[in-house]
Amino acid sequence: MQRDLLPQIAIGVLVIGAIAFGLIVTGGPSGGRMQKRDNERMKDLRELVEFVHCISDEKGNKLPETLEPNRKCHRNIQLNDPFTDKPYSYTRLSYKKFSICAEFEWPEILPERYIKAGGFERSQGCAVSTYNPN
Amino acid sequence: MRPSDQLSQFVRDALIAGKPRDQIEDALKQAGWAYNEARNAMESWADQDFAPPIPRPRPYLSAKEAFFYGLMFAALAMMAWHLTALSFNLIDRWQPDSTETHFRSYKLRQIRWSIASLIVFSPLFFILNTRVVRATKADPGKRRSGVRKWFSYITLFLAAASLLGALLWVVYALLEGDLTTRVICKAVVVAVVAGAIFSYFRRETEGD
Repeated sequence: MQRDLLPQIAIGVLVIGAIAFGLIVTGGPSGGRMQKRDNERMKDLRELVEFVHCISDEKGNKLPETLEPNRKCHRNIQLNDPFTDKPYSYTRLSYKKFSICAEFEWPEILPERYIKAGGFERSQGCAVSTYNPN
Repeated sequence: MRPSDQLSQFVRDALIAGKPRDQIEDALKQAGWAYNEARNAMESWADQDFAPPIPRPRPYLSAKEAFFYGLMFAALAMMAWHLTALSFNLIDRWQPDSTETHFRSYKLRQIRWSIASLIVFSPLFFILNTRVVRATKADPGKRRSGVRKWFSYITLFLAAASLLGALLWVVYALLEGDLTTRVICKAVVVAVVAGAIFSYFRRETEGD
């Protein structure tokens, strides 16, 4: 009887262990929600980068000092984090280079996304881009 | 001739030879047929004084069995597959590949999918399996079910193929110089899952 049950017990223990570790790694439902919020922030950063390129074109090929909505570049932009309502931080790194940062909750697992003329600094949570006037 | 046809033929011959029904049934049990099998074989011929014996209309049971075993083995397959897939992803998380810059978020989605599958299919398998074990104990004739045999042997075949595949993979990785902790852990997972299923169904099919 004991010998009969051994394979079943082995599989049962493995299943329970795998589910437990899986929940730890994925963070359960709250982990999933974190991931979705971060994806949303990442989308905002991408759009803001494009927005900055657009208003720089509009304002005499110069990077703007601050981010403000602009009629000609009225894209669907979010200047604030939709979940915490904190503004995304925009910084000019040089006269051509700028960064837009967000406070990500789980930056390690953010999917790699294309950032116009730049890239994503995972450790800081910043999209960095270089503006090249046409 | 299939065993069930042989049995039926024997009962018919015995009835034609004029043997009493209870004597035929006893003879069958002594020859090793299970109680239910002997009972069924007797009931397949009408208890009327008419020669030759009249066959009774028989319900066709295999469809019900196919549903039951089909569901059980589908649950087993889902469980084995997702247990392995989930373990692989967990091992990847624990021992990341040096070429990967970060843990891919789609893998978290895969992990969640596997967890969901395990939560649904593992209890289903264990419940169905317990029922099968209980039913087999009550009626050892069920062991001779054709549907069950086919499913068991297909499972055995797949488990054996997975075990051999894991071994092949380890030897190949060794020769390629890629025998890392990652590969060893994954091979161990396959060996444990396939090994457990193999040893379980080997016992199921014992005495065939």
